[in-house]
Amino acid sequence: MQANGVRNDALILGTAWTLVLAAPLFWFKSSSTWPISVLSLAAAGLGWAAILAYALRRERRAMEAGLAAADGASRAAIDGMAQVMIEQMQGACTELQRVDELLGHAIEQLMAAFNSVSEQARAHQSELAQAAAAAQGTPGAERLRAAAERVASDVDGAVTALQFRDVVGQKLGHVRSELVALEQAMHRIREVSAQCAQADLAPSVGGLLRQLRQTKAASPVRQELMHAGEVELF
Amino acid sequence: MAKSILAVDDSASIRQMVTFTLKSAGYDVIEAVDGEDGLAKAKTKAVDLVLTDQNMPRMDGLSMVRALRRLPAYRTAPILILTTESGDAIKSEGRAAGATGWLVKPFDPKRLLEVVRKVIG
Repeated sequence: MQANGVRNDALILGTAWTLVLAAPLFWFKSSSTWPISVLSLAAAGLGWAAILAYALRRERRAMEAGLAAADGASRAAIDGMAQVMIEQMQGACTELQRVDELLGHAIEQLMAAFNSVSEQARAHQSELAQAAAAAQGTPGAERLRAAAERVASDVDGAVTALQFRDVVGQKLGHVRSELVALEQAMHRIREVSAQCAQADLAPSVGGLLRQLRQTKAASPVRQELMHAGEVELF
Repeated sequence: MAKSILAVDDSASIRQMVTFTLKSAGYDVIEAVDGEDGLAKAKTKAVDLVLTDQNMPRMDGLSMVRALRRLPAYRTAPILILTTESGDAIKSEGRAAGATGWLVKPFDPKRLLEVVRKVIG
């Protein structure tokens, strides 16, 4: 819009200049000698050239002002987006911390209960095993032995399941470190957006995102269920 | 005389589970809260087996294994790593450090006792 206005202004100015020069040219027509016509034409040409140069300069300035406004808007958008993401990630980290604390509290209570129950269960298992041995050869011996094994198996199952705190804690720790890495990347993007020249902005942000993808660490904990893990002797 | 085992883990619940399992099978258990504590306790009393976690504050499991392997009393003693990590790279690192075996958490008490009996009888 602004560039069109500049072109129209130039056209009007040029036409006016030509008309101004045409008047003396016609006036001197009858008695003119060639230098007057040539001078008039040269003056008209110079006038047009000056007007065009002025118009071009004004158009370039208008374009630069438009680009600067667009650049500022882009930087503000990047900065705003990064800030929102930083806040979201900080919120997620806080929530993870709370989950971790809840788990810690839950496991304390579970372990206290397990200590009490496991002693009774082991004693019960021992009594059942002794009773099975004493009843050897009788129909009830097998039933008592099976009951003792069931108690032992249940206690073992509880021991395996109660290790969830460690497995979940490690996974939470990994997620937290990923969030912290993302937050740091967002801070870096904000810095780059504020300091970088316009031409370098897109490549710099692209480079940061590539770097973030490359440094993304795989979770060291692969467990998806609380099944007993593998064993390997070297 | 009961064989002694040093259980090293920064998680109180895992130490409790390991101790419960091993004591139920008749072993003496000494607990340590991290690699540094484990190393100090191993120096104080020579144990028959060290069972250690990998990720711990102050000193991790593999650093402790390397330090133990430099001590004459632990040059050949069995050292098992009990960890949530199961990647091939970290296992290779464990083998290179001198670990005897690698157990992934959560452990099954029966399987743990089988491995312990296998390495110390």
